[in-house]
Amino acid sequence: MTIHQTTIPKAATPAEQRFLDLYASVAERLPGARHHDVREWRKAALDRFVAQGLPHRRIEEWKYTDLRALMPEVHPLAGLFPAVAADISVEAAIGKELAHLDAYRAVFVDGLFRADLSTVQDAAETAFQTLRAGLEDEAGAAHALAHQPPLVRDVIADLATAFATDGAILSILPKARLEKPIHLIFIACAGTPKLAAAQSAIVIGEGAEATLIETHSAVGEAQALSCIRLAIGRDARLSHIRVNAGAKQLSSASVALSERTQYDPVQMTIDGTLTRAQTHIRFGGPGARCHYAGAMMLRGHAHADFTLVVDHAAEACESRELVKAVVDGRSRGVFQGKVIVEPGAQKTDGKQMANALLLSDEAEFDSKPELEIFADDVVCGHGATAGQLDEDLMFYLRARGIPEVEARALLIAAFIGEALDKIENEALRCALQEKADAWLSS
Amino acid sequence: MLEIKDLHAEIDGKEILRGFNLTVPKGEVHAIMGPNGSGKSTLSYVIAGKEEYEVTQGSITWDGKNLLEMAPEERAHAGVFLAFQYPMEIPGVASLTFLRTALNSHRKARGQGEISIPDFMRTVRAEADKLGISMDMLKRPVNTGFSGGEKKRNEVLQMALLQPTLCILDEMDSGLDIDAIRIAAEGVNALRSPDRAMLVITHYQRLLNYIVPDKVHVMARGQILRSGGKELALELEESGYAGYGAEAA
Repeated sequence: MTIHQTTIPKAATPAEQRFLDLYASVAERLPGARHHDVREWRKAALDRFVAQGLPHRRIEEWKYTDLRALMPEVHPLAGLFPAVAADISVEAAIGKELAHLDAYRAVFVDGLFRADLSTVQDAAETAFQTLRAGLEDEAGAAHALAHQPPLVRDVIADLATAFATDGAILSILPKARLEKPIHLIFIACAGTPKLAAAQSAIVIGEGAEATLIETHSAVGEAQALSCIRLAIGRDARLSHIRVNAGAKQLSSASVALSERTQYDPVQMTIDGTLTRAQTHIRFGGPGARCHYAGAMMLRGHAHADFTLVVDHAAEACESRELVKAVVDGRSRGVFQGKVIVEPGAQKTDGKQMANALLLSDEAEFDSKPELEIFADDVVCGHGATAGQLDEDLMFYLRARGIPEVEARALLIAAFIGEALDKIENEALRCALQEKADAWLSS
Repeated sequence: MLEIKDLHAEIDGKEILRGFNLTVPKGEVHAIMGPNGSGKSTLSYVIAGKEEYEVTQGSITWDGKNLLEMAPEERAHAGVFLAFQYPMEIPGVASLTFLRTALNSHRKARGQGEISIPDFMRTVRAEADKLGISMDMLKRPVNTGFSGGEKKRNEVLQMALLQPTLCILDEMDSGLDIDAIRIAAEGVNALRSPDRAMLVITHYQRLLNYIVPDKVHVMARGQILRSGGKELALELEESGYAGYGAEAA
């Protein structure tokens, strides 16, 4: 049919072949397909994917999250037909707590931007374009994206690049002070099983201050792929909250920090049959700071994997990671945290802690810290704990008249709350705490 | 009236209470004194319903209700309050949240609706003021980073808010200096009433200078060996527990 089909390589196993077959069937209809550089960009990503294969448990970074087992099939790609705009309730999809948050919203439903549900176009001191528009238009900003090499080896980013039908291309101007957070909402609806793929790129100008929220919701059988690329300027501050809830989600964030950048990401995941939330943070200038917090709440057969790489490539930077996991039923939580201190990154200060609350005998939490230190004047440490609810605390609460179920909920909320405490935007912090409370009382 | 009859209780297979008998009518304050290891704290935990302790024999009734059939929270709703020897720190739970949740649980058990936030704040402020507890302290997680004295005052504050009818004070004076004891004791004395019974558990006579009991019982080896008036406490201060087989257990 086309040049793409003839150049698609042969995959090693059926797992990869399914993605290749999907690509062959949609390549001509993906946004930007008529432009050579866009085609090459997607093709290069697909080639990288084929070279690596679909990750499985014998690949160290995917030891606990075997995609061959957890993602045995690939659904048809959504978002190829811009004309179809289904009626949808954002509140029903992402929950009232986050839907009601006052923010500039960019809503993507089944792989397509929905201008009718979005307000990000109104945000001052920012420039917004959809990935789709950018790829279709030869002069569009997304073409610049297509010329950027990948930051790291990242299967999720490669797949998201090959299949992305839309996404947000956003710049926040230098010294901007956004009075409201930017809220990117990605919804993959129930109904016919589908795969939604998004790719976003955000640039935060020097000295700007902003809050960025990503909410990913995949309902029913849906599969969602997303990758976000963040470049944060000197002296800028970004609070970045990513929430994943439901179904199968593979999310990846690549973040480049500059001199004295302050970056505070929070990763929150509630249930979901498969969530892999990767974050790769690179300190590219001295004096920067990153405080990462993760909160996972899992029950039933949920599986969530937070994989984090913090790469200290500049000196005198500070990184903190705190992960709080509540695992119940037969769920499994994973935290892989790697801290790299490159040669010359002296005065690095890195600390990592993972705490798990095991609410059932069959739940599991795997914590894998890794330190790779190539500088000698650094302070790095890590720790992990796993345990049950403190019976003495339970008795104390019950002796004050608080019924057992409520006492448990109060203690679990307090446990998770530690990961949310640092969020400065009070409305946002409360919304996430309410989301946690809603999970506890469900 | 609190009635404990022939109470036997054990933990990890070890019998701690061995035929304990006690009656405390409403309106009275009884002190239980005894050497370390006599079973005083076990008694307080068993009355409040801590699950590690197994009652193998005997009964505890309060106001005619069989406490042993009730969960800890049901006992609390029936008016039982244990002021802990070592109040727990609860990181992540603000004191105000904790107090309001506890208060609302009691109201719910009585069939009342939740207390309004302004009413709650007014009530807490008034009681906290009397005990010298600042509202800033109450915004912090329960007891986290509090001094010994602050923790004990916090127990008295909870008692004042929940208005229990049976108060058990377990070693309230442990770890406190004289000033801290006086403040906590004043809070307790303010709660003395004809509708309320109190059990003051203490190793030392000192606390009983501030909370003057109607009766004093000497406990050793899981039983009450002797009972008397408040002068018995003074006698113990002179002679110690040597005559009560303190080390025999």
